[in-house]
Amino acid sequence: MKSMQVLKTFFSKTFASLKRGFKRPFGKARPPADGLLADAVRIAELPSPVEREEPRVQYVVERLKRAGIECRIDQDGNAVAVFPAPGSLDPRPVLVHACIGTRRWHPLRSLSRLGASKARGAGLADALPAAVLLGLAEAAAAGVFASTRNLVVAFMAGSSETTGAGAYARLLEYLGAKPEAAVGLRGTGLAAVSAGLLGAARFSVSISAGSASKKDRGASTRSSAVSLAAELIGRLEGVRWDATGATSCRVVKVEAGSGFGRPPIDAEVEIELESADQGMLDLAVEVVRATSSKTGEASGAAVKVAEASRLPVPDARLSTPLAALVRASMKELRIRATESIFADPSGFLSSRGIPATSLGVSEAAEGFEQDELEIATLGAGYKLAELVLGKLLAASPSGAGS
Amino acid sequence: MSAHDSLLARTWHHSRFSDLDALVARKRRQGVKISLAFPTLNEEATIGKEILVIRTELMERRPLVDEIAVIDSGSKDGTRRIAERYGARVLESRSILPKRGFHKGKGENLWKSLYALEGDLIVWVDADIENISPKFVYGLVGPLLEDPKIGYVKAFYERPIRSDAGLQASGGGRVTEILVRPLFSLFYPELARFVQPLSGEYAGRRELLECLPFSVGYGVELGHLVDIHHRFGIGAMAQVDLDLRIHRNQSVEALGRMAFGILETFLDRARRYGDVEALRELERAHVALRTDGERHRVERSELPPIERQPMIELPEYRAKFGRSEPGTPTVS
Repeated sequence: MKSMQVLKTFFSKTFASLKRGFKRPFGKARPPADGLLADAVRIAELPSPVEREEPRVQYVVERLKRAGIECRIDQDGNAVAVFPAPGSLDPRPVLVHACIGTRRWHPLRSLSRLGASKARGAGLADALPAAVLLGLAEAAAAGVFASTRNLVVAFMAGSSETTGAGAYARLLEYLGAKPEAAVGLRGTGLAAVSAGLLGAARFSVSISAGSASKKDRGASTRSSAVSLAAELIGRLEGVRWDATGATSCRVVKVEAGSGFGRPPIDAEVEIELESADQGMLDLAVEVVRATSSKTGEASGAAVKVAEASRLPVPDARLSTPLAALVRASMKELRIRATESIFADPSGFLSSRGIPATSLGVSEAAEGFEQDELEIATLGAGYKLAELVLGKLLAASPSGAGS
Repeated sequence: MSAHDSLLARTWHHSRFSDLDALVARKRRQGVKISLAFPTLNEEATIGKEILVIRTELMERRPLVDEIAVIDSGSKDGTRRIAERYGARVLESRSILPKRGFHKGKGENLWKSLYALEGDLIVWVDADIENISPKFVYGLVGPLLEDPKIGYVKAFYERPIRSDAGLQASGGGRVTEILVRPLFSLFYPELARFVQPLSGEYAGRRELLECLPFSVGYGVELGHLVDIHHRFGIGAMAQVDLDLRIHRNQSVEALGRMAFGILETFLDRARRYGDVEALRELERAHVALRTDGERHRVERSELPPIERQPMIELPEYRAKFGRSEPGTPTVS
């Protein structure tokens, strides 16, 4: 209860800082959207995923260095820059973070193309958060924010799908001080504000019907990888997980491979579970594992189930005040907020008692072959991130009672 | 190293010039302006990113480049609109020196850009590059800023072939290996040390470039090399490795026409400098064969070898840039 009171005090002071504004609101240091876009297209071209996302992290480090910003690489390869607030007695910083990697890089399709109003490229949306974060770091270095507390900027060496609880836990250990608040940046969903937060788990189910298909090459055979994948999907999609519908299961991707004249013998199904209840999520995970493993037993197909990522159900009590601040900032910028319920990586931090939320930095559409970005929305996304961050940094430290 | 290997001593990797602060400092000390031009014809797919990346990195974040211009041959797509959107000065080639007429061709755009641009150092970059990055510019101006004896810098790179499967490591530069390098090996062995003599990315000092004639068509790059070699010597030239250039590859048929134009320019230069003698008048059209069922038909492409005189010979150019009558050009 005492900690909740502290949080309420912190956020009420943050709202009060609405009146104080910025030291130099939207002054010279604010990067125009074109600068953000230039960074995004260059990051998007760099191969990913690779070990520790070295090419992308190196780009970020070089950019920060050229802007006169020192940053360190932690044990996971994350690039971390700290901006101390002069005279601040409170060691708890505000953390703003973005994942720098992607699972959708392609050697040719990631060479983005720019039209007058739209940009297109494979994985481009995943490069936008890091580009915006670079802009925020430059703004911080230029003294745009009237900071009463330290700012930590972290470029996470992984994609949003693969950067898990362990990476954030190690980041927090590396920082040595528990952040007062944390804001994560997303590439899409500029206007999306969480009306409820979900935990999530993502699985990859690999089906190999190789040995079975040698006996029976008919296209309609039940033993083909495609039919087995369809059987798995049919079993899972029909499940009613709970009475309120707070838990859902959806198929994110299905791929099947085939040789000349042969039915597909390999298939991969990616499944995502979401739930607002941690216990229900854990139960659903076990059900999916069991159902996947059993698929193909009768036909002798080999099935491997791998958990790709797990996001805990966030603590709504911690996240709600921060979400309210985001809504107020959107209103100020005349961005019409869209209330959504979605799985948010900020759950990794709120599950550790840190008020956390995420911001979408553009209206981009993720596509199978390429993403499409409305370029003008990137500028709006940056303004939103800068405004929210400015308010958090300007809030007085909680002081006694924290 | 043989006597012909001089160019190899002025062959570098772009990373040698990657200290942009140092380059900007040199530029300021020398008091030079640097202009970048993209010759364009229907390049809406790639021109936007080319301008954005170079403008952001080399004008706004580091003031290495003073102006960026697009010299357009009459694009029918969104090239000009997109170029303007991303901050380039857009000029139609036919509107530059209108009294001098207009010829459609890359060399025409490069020649006219000498009049339109203000820089002491001119950088030309093709507009179809998909993997543009700042090294395409700083790698070329670096040698010019470092060494006053160098007047012309050419890029080289790996040029993979695009296919549905992705990129094949090598396969680009076919006209170079099959035509140009053998010709250079026979006639101008020093020039055979250029890795990519036909590369579309190069930079030079205005006082050198204004003395060169410009082939309007395919032979502009080759013409430059032979002219500079004869007038200024191999010592005025350098080349820089830019690693990789990804762009759309041309069909063999298109390369055939290109090779014809290049060969025309080569023979013209070789005659001009007394290195070959023509025993008769040569044909002026490239001949390709097409099949219609069982019959073959001839497809002729007229490729007249139009040349533009050195810009220094134009009174209006001399008036604009305060030049005196052309004398013996020197690279200082």
